[in-house]
Amino acid sequence: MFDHSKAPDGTFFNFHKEPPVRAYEFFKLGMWIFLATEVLFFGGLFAAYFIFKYTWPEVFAKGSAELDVVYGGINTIVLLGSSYTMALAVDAAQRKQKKPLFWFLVATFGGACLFLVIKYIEWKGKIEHGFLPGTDLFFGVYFMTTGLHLIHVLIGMYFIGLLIVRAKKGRYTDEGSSHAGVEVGGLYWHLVDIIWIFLFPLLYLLGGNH
Amino acid sequence: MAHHDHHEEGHMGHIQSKKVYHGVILALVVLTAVTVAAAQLDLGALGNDLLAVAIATVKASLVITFFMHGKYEDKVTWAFIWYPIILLATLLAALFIDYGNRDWDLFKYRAASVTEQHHGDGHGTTPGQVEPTAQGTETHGEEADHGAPAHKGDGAHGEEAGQGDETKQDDGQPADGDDHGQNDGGHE
Repeated sequence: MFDHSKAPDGTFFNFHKEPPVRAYEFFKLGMWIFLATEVLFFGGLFAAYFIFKYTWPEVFAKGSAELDVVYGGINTIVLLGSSYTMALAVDAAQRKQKKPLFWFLVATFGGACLFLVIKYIEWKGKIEHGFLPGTDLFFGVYFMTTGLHLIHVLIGMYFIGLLIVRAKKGRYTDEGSSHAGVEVGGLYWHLVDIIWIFLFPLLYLLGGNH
Repeated sequence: MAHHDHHEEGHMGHIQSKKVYHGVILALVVLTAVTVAAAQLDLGALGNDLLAVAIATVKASLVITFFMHGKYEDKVTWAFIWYPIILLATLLAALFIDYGNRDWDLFKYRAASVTEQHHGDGHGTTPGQVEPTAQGTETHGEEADHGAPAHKGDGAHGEEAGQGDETKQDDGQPADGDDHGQNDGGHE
């Protein structure tokens, strides 16, 4: 394991030795750069969606009609809500309020769990009706995009779980501590939300019109 | 509203009023409802798509600006916000221009080519020959489609037309292709 504390001065790897404010800026910029690659990662799938849809509109119309707008809509609201509580958690961390930070993180985690439950019900129904990733192009795109998004939700949950445990110990709110972790976790979670903001109308609403 | 410089010593991030978060989540929920309503309108396939993407972009901007505190970020961070957006827009625009301007329907082309029976060359009849990739067939197909009547004796186009025909003969018309192969295949 690379030991950051032994890294020579003046290199990228010793940012833990930097003054907390500068380290905080480093962490955040690092996450923004990572999120940029995430956008491009999903961008390929969005490109595939558009090309396939305009190439085989009838396949997408048929497939999209099978999706339940209610599940998709509820999941959108759930994810927006958890993004909201995450923003409030970051706000609490900035104000060094330990208890609100903890509970807003728990609420965010709860939102993620609810999202997973609804997604599970939805996928189970699809699979039971014989709609699998290989059924047609629409379901290929549907399972790839929502599946990749789901993996991001799971990674985000791991991240938030870690934040909850550490917030409980006062790691982000103690005197002289840095809340960079909460901020960075929040950035990641908001990206997961943003991706769903685009996926919801494209998959659930727009196939049926063509 | 005047804002402090967030680089100020000892300050991590900018604390904004909680009302901002309440307002943003309200706007996001309302815009979700608007998206659902807007999808019921009939603006044509492209119109509906553009409207939905536009609303989603507004929502994403709200999240980036207020939830992710993009409002208080410096130029470097904004460079990394814009660069994937610009790259993605370029990718989508290029793909739309490309696919929007060609007769890309591979299956339609294949079906038509079998019935129309274009001329081919000797190579096409060799069994087990590696098929051109879908991309290749597509491109050659287009040329063959548009230029088909002019192909006889057209040396410049002969080779490309011939390549396209290999696939067609695999589809089940080897005998006919053989007859014309010597003359039109472009192998002088």
